[in-house]
Amino acid sequence: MITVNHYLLLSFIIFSIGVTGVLLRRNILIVLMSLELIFNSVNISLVAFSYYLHSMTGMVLVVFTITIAAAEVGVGLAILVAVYRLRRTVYVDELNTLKH
Amino acid sequence: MELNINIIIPEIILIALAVCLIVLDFFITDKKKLNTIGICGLVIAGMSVLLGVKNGFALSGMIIQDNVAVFFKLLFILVGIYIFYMGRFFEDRIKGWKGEFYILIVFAIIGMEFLSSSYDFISFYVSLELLTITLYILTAYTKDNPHSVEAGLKYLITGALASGFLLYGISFIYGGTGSTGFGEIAGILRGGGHGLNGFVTIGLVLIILGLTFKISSIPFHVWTPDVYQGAPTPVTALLAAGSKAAGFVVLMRVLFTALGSVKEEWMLFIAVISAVTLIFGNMSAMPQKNIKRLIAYAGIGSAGYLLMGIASASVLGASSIMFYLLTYLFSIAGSFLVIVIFSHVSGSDEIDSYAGLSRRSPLLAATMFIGLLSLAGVPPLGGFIAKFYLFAAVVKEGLIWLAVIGILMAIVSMYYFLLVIKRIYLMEPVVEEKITLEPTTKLMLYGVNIAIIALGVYPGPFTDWFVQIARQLF
Amino acid sequence: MLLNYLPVLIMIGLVAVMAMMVLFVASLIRPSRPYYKKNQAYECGIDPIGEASIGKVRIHYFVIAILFIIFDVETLYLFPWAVVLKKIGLFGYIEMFVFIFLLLVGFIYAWIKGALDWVS
Repeated sequence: MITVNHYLLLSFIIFSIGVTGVLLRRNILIVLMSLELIFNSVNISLVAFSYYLHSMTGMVLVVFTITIAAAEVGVGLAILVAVYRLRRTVYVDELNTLKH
Repeated sequence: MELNINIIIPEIILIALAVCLIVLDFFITDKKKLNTIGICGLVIAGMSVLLGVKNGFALSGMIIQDNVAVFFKLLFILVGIYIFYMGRFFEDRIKGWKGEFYILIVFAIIGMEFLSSSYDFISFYVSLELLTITLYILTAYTKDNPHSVEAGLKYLITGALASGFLLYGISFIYGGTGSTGFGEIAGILRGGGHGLNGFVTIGLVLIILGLTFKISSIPFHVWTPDVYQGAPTPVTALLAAGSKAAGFVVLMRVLFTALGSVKEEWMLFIAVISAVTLIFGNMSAMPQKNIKRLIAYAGIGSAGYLLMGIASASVLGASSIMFYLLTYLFSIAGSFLVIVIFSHVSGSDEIDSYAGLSRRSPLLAATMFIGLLSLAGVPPLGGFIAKFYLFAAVVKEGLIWLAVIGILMAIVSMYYFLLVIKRIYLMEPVVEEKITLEPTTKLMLYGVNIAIIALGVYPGPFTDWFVQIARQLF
Repeated sequence: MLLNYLPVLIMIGLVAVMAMMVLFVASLIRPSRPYYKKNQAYECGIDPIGEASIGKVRIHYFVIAILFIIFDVETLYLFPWAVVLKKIGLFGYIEMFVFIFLLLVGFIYAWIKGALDWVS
């Protein structure tokens, strides 16, 4: 029998993969994909809670999350295109013109 | 289902203003007119906040209108007016300028307005992202400037990661209590129906971590210096004065209103974050050469001071946060108006180029002097009173070690701000040419200075009012 | 337990058989006259230059993709709205038009600003 804990474990594993990807990957496109993983892992956990609590609020939040994640990635890609036009690179560690 | 549309009239006015600006952008070629229309619209929205709105709930309990929301809405509109005014000096710095800059600023203000009155995790998350995504675009707005787009990308990656943490935390709070409304969560936790379970604790920690991005404190502070330096200067001012205040109003609503009954769980956690943030921000500010970067690190330090108010979890703490944010707004508005005018004239943000500013324009120098000293917390300016109340709030709750760290760091901040002031007043200017100011600019600068001094000399009515409205949070 | 999934399996089998049958019948009926232009990779009516696998993609595809993501996801709100339309009544009906109007303003803005023009 699959309980809410299984879904939470799945969501946690995907969340961890996403966070690791954001922190370790150099290619910004892969970083953006990892961010998508994070948002979708949260969606899994929200839907699981919503199903087991018999409340619709979680589902409503998921609808908003999907939209906002899309907007976030849209803006991210647009800024990435602007960065690539100026710097000819998509690697995080080569973007260091600001002073440390 | 009660909608109570009349409660969100100020926001509807602002949305109408944004749509108007989008349409007018096609027909008006002189963008200075767009700026004026924007300021007028903001003033109208501010009037409608002051006059027409009753307290209560709107949109099925998603939105609350109370005196805290009224105060913050007025604060954000004031920020908006100053940002719009700064935009006038920045217009010619952007190649292929389009009116979108002003439209996006209006959207950011709408996000902050909704954020200050959100009473449910759904409306809270949506308005937070409306603000944050708009700020990503604004940061990368000068897209022919490598610094700006690079700052935008860094801001976006950190911001999206923090928003993931926040959302994960919200899902756990929802799982632990079965509700997303702040009032309902508070009721469930206080009634002990489910009591405090593991889910709520995990959610609490994740939400605090996610919100540290908005207020630029440890551990999500890494974006602050780069973004403050790279972003267009009006946007930096918006980040410093507006976005940080918005972060604190939701932090107060989530922690005091929704999770107030489990405050033993988070008080010490916040106190530790506050101490680390204070030490890190002020120590890193010392060697900075760029004025925007210096204010960024000082801003991390300020987030540490403001977190002291959260850590005290009391009415006094909440009211001193509001007082601090009010004085912080005037200091930031004043000093950034000077920065934007100065870089308009000289094209530089380096601290060294400010040498001898007092001889080129005494008013600009005086504004910078008062603004920075208020940030450092020198009596009799507003910043001193704000810090004094924060220390009092923490000491009252028995966190004396935190107050000691705060006082030590205030001395450190005095040092690096005095270095800037020394350059402005005691060094010889490289260029002798005088800086002339328009009458409206002079009026704006005088307004800021008078406000800072008035808050410092005569804080009584304000603190009384803040204590009164802060009670509504608990 | 697993027997409950039998209809799904039958469905998959049926779909596969149908698809193959349609393709087979079509290949018997249709005329077959291949020539150079017809065998070329189809790229929105523009002659392809070089190999796509090298990674040189026109930046303009990105712009269209970004716009597509945004407007595609906004339609997500139409589905729950359509399901409960009778319950929420006239107010909900009008509210969706306000939503679509705001989207339309954004769309027209993008159009006039030239985000949809193909610069060649």
